[in-house]
Amino acid sequence: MGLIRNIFMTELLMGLKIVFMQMFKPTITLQYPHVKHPIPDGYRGLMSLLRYEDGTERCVGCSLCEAACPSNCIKVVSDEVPGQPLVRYAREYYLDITRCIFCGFCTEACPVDALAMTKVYEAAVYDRRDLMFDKAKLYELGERYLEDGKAYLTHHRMDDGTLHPVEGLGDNRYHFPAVDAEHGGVQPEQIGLTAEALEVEETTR
Amino acid sequence: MSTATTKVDTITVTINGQTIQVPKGTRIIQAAEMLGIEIPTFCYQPRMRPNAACRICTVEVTKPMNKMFMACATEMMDGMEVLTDSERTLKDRQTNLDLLLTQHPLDCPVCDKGGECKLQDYSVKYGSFENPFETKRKDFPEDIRSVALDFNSNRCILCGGCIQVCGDIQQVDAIGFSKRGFITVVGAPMGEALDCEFCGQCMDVCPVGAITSRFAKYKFRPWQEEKTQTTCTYCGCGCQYDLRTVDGEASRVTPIEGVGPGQGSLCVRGHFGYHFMEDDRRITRPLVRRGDKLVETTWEEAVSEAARGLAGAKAAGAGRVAGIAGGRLTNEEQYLFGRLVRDVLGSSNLDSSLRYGAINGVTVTREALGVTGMMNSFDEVRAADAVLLIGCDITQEAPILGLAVKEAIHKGEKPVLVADSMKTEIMKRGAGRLVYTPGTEIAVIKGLVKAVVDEGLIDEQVAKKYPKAVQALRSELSGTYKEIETPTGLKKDDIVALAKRFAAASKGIILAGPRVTGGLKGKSAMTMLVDLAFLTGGLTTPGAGVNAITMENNELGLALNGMAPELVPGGGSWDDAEARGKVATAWNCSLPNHQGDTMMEMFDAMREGRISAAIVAGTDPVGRLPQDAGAAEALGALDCLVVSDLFLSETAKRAHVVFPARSYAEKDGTVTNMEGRVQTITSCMKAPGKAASDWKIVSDIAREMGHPLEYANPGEIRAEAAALVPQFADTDVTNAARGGVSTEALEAWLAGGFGTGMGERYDLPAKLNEASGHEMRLYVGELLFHSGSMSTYNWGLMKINDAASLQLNSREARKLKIKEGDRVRLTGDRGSCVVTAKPDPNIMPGTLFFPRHSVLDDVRNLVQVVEGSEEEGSVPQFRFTRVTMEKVSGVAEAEASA
Ligand code: SF4
Ligand code: SF4
Ligand code: SF4
Ligand code: SF4
Ligand code: SF4
Ligand code: FES
Repeated sequence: MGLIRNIFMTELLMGLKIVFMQMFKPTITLQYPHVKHPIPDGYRGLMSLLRYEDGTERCVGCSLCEAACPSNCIKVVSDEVPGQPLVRYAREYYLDITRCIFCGFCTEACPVDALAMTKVYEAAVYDRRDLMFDKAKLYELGERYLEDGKAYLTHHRMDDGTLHPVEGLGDNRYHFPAVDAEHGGVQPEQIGLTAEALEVEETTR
Repeated sequence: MSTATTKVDTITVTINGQTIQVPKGTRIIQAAEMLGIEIPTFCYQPRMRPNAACRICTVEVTKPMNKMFMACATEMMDGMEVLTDSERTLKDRQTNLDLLLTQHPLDCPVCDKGGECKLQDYSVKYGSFENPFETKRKDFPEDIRSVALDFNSNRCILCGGCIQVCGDIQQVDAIGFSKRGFITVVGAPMGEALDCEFCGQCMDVCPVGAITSRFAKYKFRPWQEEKTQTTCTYCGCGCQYDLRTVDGEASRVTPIEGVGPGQGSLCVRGHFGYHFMEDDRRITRPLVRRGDKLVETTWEEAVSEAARGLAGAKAAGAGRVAGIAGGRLTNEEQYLFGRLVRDVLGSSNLDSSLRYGAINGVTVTREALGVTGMMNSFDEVRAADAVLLIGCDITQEAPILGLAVKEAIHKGEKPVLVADSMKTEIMKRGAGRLVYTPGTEIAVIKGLVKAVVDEGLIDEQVAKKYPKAVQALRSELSGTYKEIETPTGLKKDDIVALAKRFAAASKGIILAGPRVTGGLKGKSAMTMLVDLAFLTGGLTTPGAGVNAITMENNELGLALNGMAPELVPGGGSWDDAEARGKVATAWNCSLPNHQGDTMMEMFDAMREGRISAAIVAGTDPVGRLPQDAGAAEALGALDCLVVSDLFLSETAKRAHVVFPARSYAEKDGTVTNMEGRVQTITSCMKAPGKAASDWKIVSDIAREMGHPLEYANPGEIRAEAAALVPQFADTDVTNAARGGVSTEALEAWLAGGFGTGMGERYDLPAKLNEASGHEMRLYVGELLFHSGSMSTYNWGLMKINDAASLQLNSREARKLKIKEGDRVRLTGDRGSCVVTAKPDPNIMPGTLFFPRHSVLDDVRNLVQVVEGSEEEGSVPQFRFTRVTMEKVSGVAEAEASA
């Protein structure tokens, strides 16, 4: 047996068989960085902050992302928007990418879908300080990779889609308490509100 | 212990299988607390009677009957058995929360209560995520019209706590519910914007985010905050609170339930006055004078220049240096400051803001009763049978002591008797009132003592035990009521009626305000009040007494540290060679052997060149006293004036060296409140620039002068000071708890000091009846929203009240056709000025009131200072003056200024 195998070089043929079979299959090695692998929608890459279509910042500065972050890399400085009483926003927002573990908990904590992860994974920089993202940088990323963000949020949607419109970012706009400087909201009748006039909202269950 | 007595007082109850003995009348919630069992509550407030509105506290009682009971309101019976987490209890709790959440908005992300909200916490712990009820969420606009508090009725769960605290504790009744059912809203009545005392307590008790602070709006999350328990330094009450900071910046102030003098209450200043530390106007670097200007310099340079100036004056002759300290310094800083002046600088010219504060009150009670500060505690005031307030607008001057007085009235329907020169807030609740002409306190007090003597109101035991003292008083008061009625404008019968009511109470407490201790013949007036208390048994009955309130935060520290020429550390008097010797031994130095100058004498000496250098810390004599006191010229004439302050005060502007000082939030130490409690302040914020604690500044100067006073921290200073001032050894103990009146001191007083100068004591000053070309009486006093000048650096408090307007009687205003906002000219012997008028029904005709905090206004400078004689504590009287008022038209004013 051994002799025959040696004479006919069966091992070689067996090996060549694989070689020839592979020759006719399509190539899968990518010429990174010239060619890049498509990234799935749920991918957790660099973080970004999103705006509504009219340009308003989505983030309401609730600091829930900060509380949810297991590696403590988010810092939110919230405030009332100047000139817009009762509207809350993040006056400052910092995310230390060097400490981020890309768990995505913050995006899940966010009540207004202001945070989304992009498909950007190339985070290398020459200066580590550039990895301390501030609010401007995060919104810039959000603008540049808006499609990534939308895809991310759609993919990670955990509810059945009734609370949040399914396609990425609908007009899921935050409902801030209303201001009535004149009447102060004290007397509902004065502002034309009666119990009946108040909309009855069904539970979403 | 016999079983019979046990049965009467205590009962045995079982909660969740744990058995405990509790006093009779204990409610389920209290017993559970003792066992460490948590029962959820929304409307329960430990200090208030049960409101029983929210029903979240419902628990299952299994014995003696099986029923659901409200834990917060149900008094337990002997043998009662309770389950706080039975299935039935949990089911009820869940339904309760489900029902609340049918209306509650989904505001948590932007709601300032988020993270410490009871509704949030309970929903997570006890709620269901499957609400079976129909949802109908409230969406009313939020009421943001008030300057300090926002009302969001959507989030209100109608527990009624805010209304109760405002009605029962603050007793202002500023808020309530309007409408019924679904559309119930909380806020000021009639849909008005809230305009109240802004104590903020309604916000504190609200279990949800229905009442939030405008000043902290959206600026914090509770989990981002660091909490530091510290003492409020605005007034002599010394309330305890948590100063909360986010990244070293003050985010808000929260009270601590059941702790400190306030027991969890705060006033507007403490609650919302937390912005001054971060004000841009703070001095951050040392300044030195170069020609006309103060220029920034290095710390070393400033220290050496200060030391050079002070040492130069010291070398030129003993007593050429003076020191003036303020109640803003901690006990430790005051102590070290005193040591710098008396030991290092070798001068006995040491005085403090006590001089223009309550020195007369402090000295009299110490001499007569052996107590430095109040002899009664706030708790005793709360339990008093009657409170007599004289010249003391308590709700403005010491708001939390004011609450204690309110509590005293409320609880037992007991009388509060008020004598003042305007209708004060507390007078409106008073059972007896005397409204007298401003500046005549001494006559009013004499009238009261006379009434007690004449009407046979003297306490029987006192009369029996001290017949000689009583007789001495009797013979002193044989005159007629005429001399009292004329200046005060009061009637004999009214005075007698008030005295009768006070004498009838067994636990009567007298509170004397700044208009007594700082008024004409203040020391005599205060002594007469001690006489009054003595005659009515107030000095020998526990829980009764006589007290002078101190208004500056650490004013009592000044007294304990001997920061006045007639005092030595420990509060003893300078004349007492033994007390002086003790200090000299402790400091290992020889003290100057003559008593130093008081503040007004110092000013004279400065003007005449006998004092050439001074150091001033933590107070602003130029800004506090009227121009007439001459502080500006006196301090301006010095060769070297060293000042440490937070802001460039009027005094600092005239200095040669200015050190940037730290605020209470940036330093550690202790302060003494008016009850004698030594309480801690803890640093939790970063000091701006080079600002340093005053003890550091003093220590640096001393080192530079070759006489080092070195300490690693304030604790070491305190340990040293405690050898001389025993009070500093224990924290949080009131004078009353230390034993109150010392019997030896009282006996010694009655045998000695009591009779001394009695004739003069009861001689009314001629000034009372002095004629003047000016018909109005102007007096300068305190407002609730501000105290001293520090509060005016708070943008928050300034938003609530920045008005520096002249209050005058409304009816008189109508007669003179003066409306709110009109400008009036005041002319007095010391010049004239134009101010904005504000008619006020509480001001008496012929009287004008101007708030004292407003440092920039000229009104203060109209006041003519009456220098007190040495027997009267050398206290300058600067709260009253006579003026003429006339309305000026806008045109006339413009012309005048052009
Ligand atoms: S990003 Fe989202 S979770 Fe974070 S603060 Fe803004 S709104 Fe809140
Ligand atoms: S009150 Fe409580 S439950 Fe309601 S919105 Fe605010 S944080 Fe949420
Ligand atoms: S702030 Fe104080 S006075 Fe004003 S409504 Fe609230 S509890 Fe009442
Ligand atoms: S505002 Fe707050 S404290 Fe007042 S009733 Fe509503 S929930 Fe209770
Ligand atoms: S100002 Fe006085 S009464 Fe008010 S919180 Fe501070 S210490 Fe208390
Ligand atoms: S806490 Fe008992 S009823 Fe509200």
